[in-house]
Amino acid sequence: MNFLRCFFAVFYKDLLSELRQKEILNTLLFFGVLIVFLFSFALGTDPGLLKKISPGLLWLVILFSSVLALDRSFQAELEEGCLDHLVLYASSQRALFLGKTATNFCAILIVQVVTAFAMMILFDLPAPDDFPLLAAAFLLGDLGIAVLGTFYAALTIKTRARQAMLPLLLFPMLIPLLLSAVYATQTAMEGSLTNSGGSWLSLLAIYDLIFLTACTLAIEPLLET
Amino acid sequence: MKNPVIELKNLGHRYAGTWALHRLSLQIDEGEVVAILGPNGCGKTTLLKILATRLAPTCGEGTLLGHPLSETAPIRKGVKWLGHELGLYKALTAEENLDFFAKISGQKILGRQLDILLEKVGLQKNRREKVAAFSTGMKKRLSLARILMENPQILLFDEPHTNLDQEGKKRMSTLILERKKAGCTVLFSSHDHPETIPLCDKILALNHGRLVYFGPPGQIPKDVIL
Repeated sequence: MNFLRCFFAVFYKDLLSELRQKEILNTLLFFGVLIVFLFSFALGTDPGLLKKISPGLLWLVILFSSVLALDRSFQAELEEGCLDHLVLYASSQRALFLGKTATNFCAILIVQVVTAFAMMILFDLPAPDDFPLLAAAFLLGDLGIAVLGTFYAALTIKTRARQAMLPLLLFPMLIPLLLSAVYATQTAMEGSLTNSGGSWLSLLAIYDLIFLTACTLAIEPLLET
Repeated sequence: MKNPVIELKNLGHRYAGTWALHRLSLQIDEGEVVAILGPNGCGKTTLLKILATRLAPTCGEGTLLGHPLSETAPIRKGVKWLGHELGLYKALTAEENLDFFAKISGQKILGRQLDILLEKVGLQKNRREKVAAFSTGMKKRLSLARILMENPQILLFDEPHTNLDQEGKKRMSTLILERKKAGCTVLFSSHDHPETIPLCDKILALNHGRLVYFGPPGQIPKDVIL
């Protein structure tokens, strides 16, 4: 019961702070849409090319913009020594981590949906053939980024070159997720010709499960130091 | 005979090769008010952080409320720490901050309790104001309300009188004496000797991480630098 109270309290606090300060979401949305906008100029107007590269491009934009949110999620706790008090008061460090992960997941998902819409308009892409598959790829992909990203944000919080260390550590770990998410998105956009969408989703789900378990178990000593 | 609530034996902490605290052994009884005095960098904050379980000692042993320092969960229930940084969320209001910390620590705080707490620290009129608009003194008072939520057995303050006006200092001193009357043990570091000496039962003087005096305020040897 205390675990759930702690989880929802952290989630609600982060959400409320973000709604009031609008530090992260505005920046992320602007960044995501701007990158897509720039690519629409850089890549020309070949519809075949745009359709082919759009899944990979979308996930790369999400990966880069999510780093901004992930970095900020623990940095905000360092201000005025909030992290010390958070760790001392929290009945469960795991609930604290999962609460922060949930907030990051929501932020990344919002940015992904908005960026995908912007991409559809600017690249003149057709509506996805398999919408449930696309939604599942977004949800599972974003969950994986949020879990591992929040963990590495906690790991790098007190390092000197935090902003450089976070992507350096995080991106190589996300390669399997990126690969699965891009192929699942591509399958959803082009229709299930090879019927491989389910396999990529399974891979994403397994990836999420492994890292959700591992990161939740490993977070306590990390936050205590 | 009083109950010892803090027992330290050869406790030490080293930062990058330098001993911030060195072989500290002492015992503090229930209901005692102890002032930790000494020049800057003598280990006052390190000692308080170790007692708050936010910093692990490099060597030695210690028990708080009968639990070894490694058992953080039961210690954190009974020991509350107020450091230099107050750890409040500026985007949240005063009552939202208190509610948040109550929830994450597994407590249920009722509206009436919140009223009493905020009234005690003189912030009842500011309860719906965001902390971003608070002065340092008001933030400190709100942090005080937070640590009083759980009725702790040991209170640790790092320079409690700093950044407070005369009224705030008076309120802080009254609060320390009130907690003492309630049987709470209070440890606080300070550079403000005129405010400190009348409040405490014992003085713990440190210099270069070593204990140089531990006893009643009236018996401090003249060669001890405070």
